Amino acid sequence: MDIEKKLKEFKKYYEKVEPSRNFMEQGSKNLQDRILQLEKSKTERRFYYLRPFALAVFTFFVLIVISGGLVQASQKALPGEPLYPVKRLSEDVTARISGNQVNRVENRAGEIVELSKKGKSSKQVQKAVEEYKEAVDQAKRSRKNTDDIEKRLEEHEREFEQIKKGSSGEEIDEAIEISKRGRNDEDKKKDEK
Amino acid sequence: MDKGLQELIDKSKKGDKDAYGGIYKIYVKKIYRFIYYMVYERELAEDLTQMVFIKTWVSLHSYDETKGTLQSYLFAIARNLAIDYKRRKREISLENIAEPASNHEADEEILREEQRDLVAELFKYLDYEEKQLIIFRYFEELKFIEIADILKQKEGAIRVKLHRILKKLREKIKGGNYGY
Repeated sequence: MDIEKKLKEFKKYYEKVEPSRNFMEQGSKNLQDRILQLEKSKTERRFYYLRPFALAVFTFFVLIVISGGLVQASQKALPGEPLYPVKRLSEDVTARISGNQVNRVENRAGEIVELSKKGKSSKQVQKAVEEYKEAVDQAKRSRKNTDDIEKRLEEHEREFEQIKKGSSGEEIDEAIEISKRGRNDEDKKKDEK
Repeated sequence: MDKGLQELIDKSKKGDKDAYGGIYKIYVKKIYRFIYYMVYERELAEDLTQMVFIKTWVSLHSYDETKGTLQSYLFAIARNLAIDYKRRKREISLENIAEPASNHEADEEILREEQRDLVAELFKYLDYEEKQLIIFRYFEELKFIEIADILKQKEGAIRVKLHRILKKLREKIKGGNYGY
């Protein structure tokens, strides 16, 4: 028996099997719809995976903006106020990067003036004076921007003299003393040079 | 390769869905028949046929004409889908899908026909791979090289297997009644 010939005859029976009429009529359209759906979900999936990354980038920029705004807002903060730590932190960072202590000294002096004007407790003013002393000493140790520091210390002395008139505490006297001593030390260094 | 078909392939690769629709119309019945004789369920065969064309669309950018015909590419995907289905069905221990259609409750339309499904009767003597070889070689009339591409086997091995299948069928059919 020629089996191969028999098999070729079977082919006509094999070809009788066909998909349903509905499948033939709708199949092409259904396929296109499913392909479109697939492409849509692929795009959505791409964005879905990008979402955490996009969120991280957005959050980073928001934090940058907020922190920049925070730093700006904190510049007028006084000891005891919520943004005061932000102010001190930004000062430290600036001082570390630039090596310039002038800003720190300037801020401490400004705080003494503001606290006195606002009639804050002598304890608070005393603390501010101690911080001022620390800042002046640190500036002197750095031996940088000495002319600038001297000029500022002179201005501080004048300001402290002004507020002394309206203040009863000894803290302002101490602040004046600190600024004088700081200038005298600067003068001595110049003489030594 | 036929020029018209080549054009459809090139356009489809660029994302032309209408061109791909043309490819679908050329091959849909062939793929359906093949899958039907693997799973013996009409609706399932239709679903799997659609899957073949969806998978082909997704992977068409990587299809290389120099490595085989589009027909063998489609049949390879169809074969893999049918095998996956068979494996899943085995895992959940359902009925044997290799039963001939005349014994299969799901396919009542075939049963209602006056003429029995002689192909299914023939296939009951063959295992899964042997069935595929007979379909590819004698019903779809693919070349040996195409069959080798689909089954990822050497041409020589395909020829040897087919020779054995024919010997087996010769012995079985000798004693059987196939409506002649």
